Amino acid sequence: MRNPRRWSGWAGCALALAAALAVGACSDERQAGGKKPVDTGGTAVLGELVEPSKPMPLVWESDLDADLVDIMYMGLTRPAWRDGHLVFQTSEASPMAMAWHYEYLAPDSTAIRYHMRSGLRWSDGKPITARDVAWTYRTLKDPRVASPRQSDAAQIDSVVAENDSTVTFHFKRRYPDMVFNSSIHVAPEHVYAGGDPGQIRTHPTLVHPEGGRLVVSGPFLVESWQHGQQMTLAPNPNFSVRPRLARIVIRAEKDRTTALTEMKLGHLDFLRPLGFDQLQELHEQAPNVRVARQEKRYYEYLAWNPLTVPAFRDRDVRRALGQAIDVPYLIEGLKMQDYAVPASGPYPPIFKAVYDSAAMRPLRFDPEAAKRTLEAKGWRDTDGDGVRDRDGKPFRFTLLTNSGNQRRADAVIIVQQQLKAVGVDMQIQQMEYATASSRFYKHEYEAALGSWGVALSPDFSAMWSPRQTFNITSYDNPEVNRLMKEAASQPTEALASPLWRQAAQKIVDDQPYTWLYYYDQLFAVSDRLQGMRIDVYGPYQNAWEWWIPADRQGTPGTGKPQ
Amino acid sequence: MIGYLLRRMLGAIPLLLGILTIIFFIIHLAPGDPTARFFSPQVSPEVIEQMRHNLGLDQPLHIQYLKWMKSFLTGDFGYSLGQGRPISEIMPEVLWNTLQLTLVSLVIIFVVGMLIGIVQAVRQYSVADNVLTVLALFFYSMPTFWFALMLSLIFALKASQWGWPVVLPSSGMATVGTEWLGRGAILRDRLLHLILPATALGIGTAAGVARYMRGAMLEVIHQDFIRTARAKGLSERTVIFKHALRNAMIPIITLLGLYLPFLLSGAVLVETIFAWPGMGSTVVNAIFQRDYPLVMATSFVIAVIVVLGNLLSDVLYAVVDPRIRAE
Repeated sequence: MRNPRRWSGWAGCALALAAALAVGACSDERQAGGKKPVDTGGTAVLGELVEPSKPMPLVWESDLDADLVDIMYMGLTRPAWRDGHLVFQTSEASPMAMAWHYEYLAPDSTAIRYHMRSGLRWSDGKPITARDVAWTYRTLKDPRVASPRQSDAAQIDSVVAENDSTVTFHFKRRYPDMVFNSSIHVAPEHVYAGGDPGQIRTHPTLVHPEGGRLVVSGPFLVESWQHGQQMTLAPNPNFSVRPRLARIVIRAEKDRTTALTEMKLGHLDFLRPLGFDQLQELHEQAPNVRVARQEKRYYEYLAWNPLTVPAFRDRDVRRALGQAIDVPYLIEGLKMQDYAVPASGPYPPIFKAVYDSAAMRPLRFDPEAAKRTLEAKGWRDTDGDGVRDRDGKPFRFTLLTNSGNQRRADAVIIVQQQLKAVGVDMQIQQMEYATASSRFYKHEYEAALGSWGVALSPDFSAMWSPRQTFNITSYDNPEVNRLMKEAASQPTEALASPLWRQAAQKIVDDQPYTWLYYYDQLFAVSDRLQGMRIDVYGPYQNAWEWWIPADRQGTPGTGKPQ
Repeated sequence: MIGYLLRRMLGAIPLLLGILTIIFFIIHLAPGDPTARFFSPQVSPEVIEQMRHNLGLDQPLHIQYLKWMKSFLTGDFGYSLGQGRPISEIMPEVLWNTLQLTLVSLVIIFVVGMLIGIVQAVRQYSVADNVLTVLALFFYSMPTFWFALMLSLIFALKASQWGWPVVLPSSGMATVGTEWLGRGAILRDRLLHLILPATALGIGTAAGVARYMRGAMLEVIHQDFIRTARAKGLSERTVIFKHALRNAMIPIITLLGLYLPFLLSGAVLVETIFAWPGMGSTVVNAIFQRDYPLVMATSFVIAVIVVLGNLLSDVLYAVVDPRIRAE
């Protein structure tokens, strides 16, 4: 997904997020190399474990929605991920960009002017103008809309449509994400303006988007939708590039085992998510399916809550617990060898501007050092029951994680055994996702296992500043607070990145989390679906370039011609 | 009879309202709310608060309850917070989907179950009786989800790998692209999609029915009126199916009243495994998403089905047993 999803929610939400590296062959490259012409036509069938909900830029509701928004709506520029950095493509590089050029009004200006290309039309034939852009941002800022992307407009002072094809953004200050924040997907003013902004989610075109009623600007529109079963996307005739596929069908799979069976049977061209525990089965039984990945935008962590377990207030104790956990063994035990590496801190290595491999190294597995530290801190097994104690109280706590995630269920058992080896008694509690996450945010837990998808913007202050909802360990380091504030006020990425790196380093030193591993999101892709590019912007980002060889264009599994 | 039915239905109204009230408060007291899925460091707490305001979740619980009850009593179930559609659109869809699955399952349950029970009773202590008893216990004690996965593995995946002439679909209600075909092909495709989930849903219960049927039939066929029927020269078929079966039906009808709501609301695992978009999976999703209006609407429908199921049992008692009708 593109802009909409810069962070994942906690735990299970990470399932459908974006991460890095191109995996599938890029059809552009194929053509450029002149090796093989691509075919048009055919239907790609994609299996998803969630259903689409509201694929509209202002009110999307899920990660899948965000992916659909990405191929149904254009923005002024089209962000892309190149060599560990964000770049912003104009219409010369991407048909998804509305602007052919943008410029800062002066070298240090807090305003950017965009020049839009002519001839752009919505799927209903109405022209796309700068007024749509201005309306989108005005509506985004309207608190009544309660858009999940509202924070993108926080630093925008005004958006002025100078004429039909020129729009200027005035920001409150100069900061690195100015182009990023002005690149969100644009919604059609003529469809939504005039209604109650608080009720935009129940607009008729969102309740019934099928039949092309949902007005879009990107390459695909919603042709039909059988709720609970499938959504069919068809080409938008007014988009500048004709998609190579005739249709994309998104099937709602509800059970991961059945979904994998469907993939093995060849009924699906794509499946998300694919579990690490399903890889071997897939390799053995489906030679025509390849595993694609979004590389390491996610990390799994153990969070230590000092509010409920006094022992966790001591940095050395937290560090000792981290040293007691053999992360490479954990990775191997969870069958993630080729898709995970030990984690060292809040920035995964793919974020080259802020990841510092020299300064931030994964904590070394050293149970003897862990034991020594715990001894030194007064945690000794005085009663010989195998559990360390101090002042008559055993070192015992409960780790909370969500149910319904086999990887975490297995991980906590391994962690439990490893902590037991150094004399720490960890109990395990699993709760339904909503309940577990609610207790996280209210700090009603002792230790937790969860994961985060990392933002494309390096600003992590929502997670490490005091009194923030997502600062689940109540972390508060004045030096880190100062660095984060200073970094956030820098005008350019070059000036901000070193400060973010320093802040990250100090957080790692304090070990409010034990970072376990950075891991990939996996997808299964059939060998008949070609041209899929996957990076931090997810698997759908170039769907108009996907293609299926002409001799394999029957509906998967049936052989019926299209 | 009509007066009796009316009395029963009127008596159910306070029961239904009581059930709905309890469910309303239980689901609202559970941790989390419908805005929880938007929680991320990128979404500010103010936005979440505004969403709660837009949904009316910031009002005191008793006010929310009164508002919901007022809408409900005027026939307005509101919008699903998870699907963003009017519930009046969602319910007929999912009920119809579930009904298709349930009706086929009911046929499996009662036709297969009763036939096996009758055969066992008529051939008591024979090899067939013993084999069927073992089989019935096997299917009865098998967890539904495991059986469903095995059916999917054997009749979909392995059938395809081993080149069987028929490979049954294991996911969804229709094959992609079927909508372009004729009505007959669509119907055939739907029936094929029904086979595995309906079997998974029905076979265990059919085994249970077979055991009840065997017991009930054995009790009946040893009674004097059956001996009399045979003595006056009636064929064995007439004796069993006309005289014995009708008298052995009463406990089975009780089961129908019990199974009907269970099948309509309790097919969660089967619907999930076979990606069948029915009531069961809708209820579960609604609960996980804290989609309060949809939870309330589905609860109402399930409660009504339970009441109607019991009522149907009582009516059927009267149909098969004239003594009850007279009372």
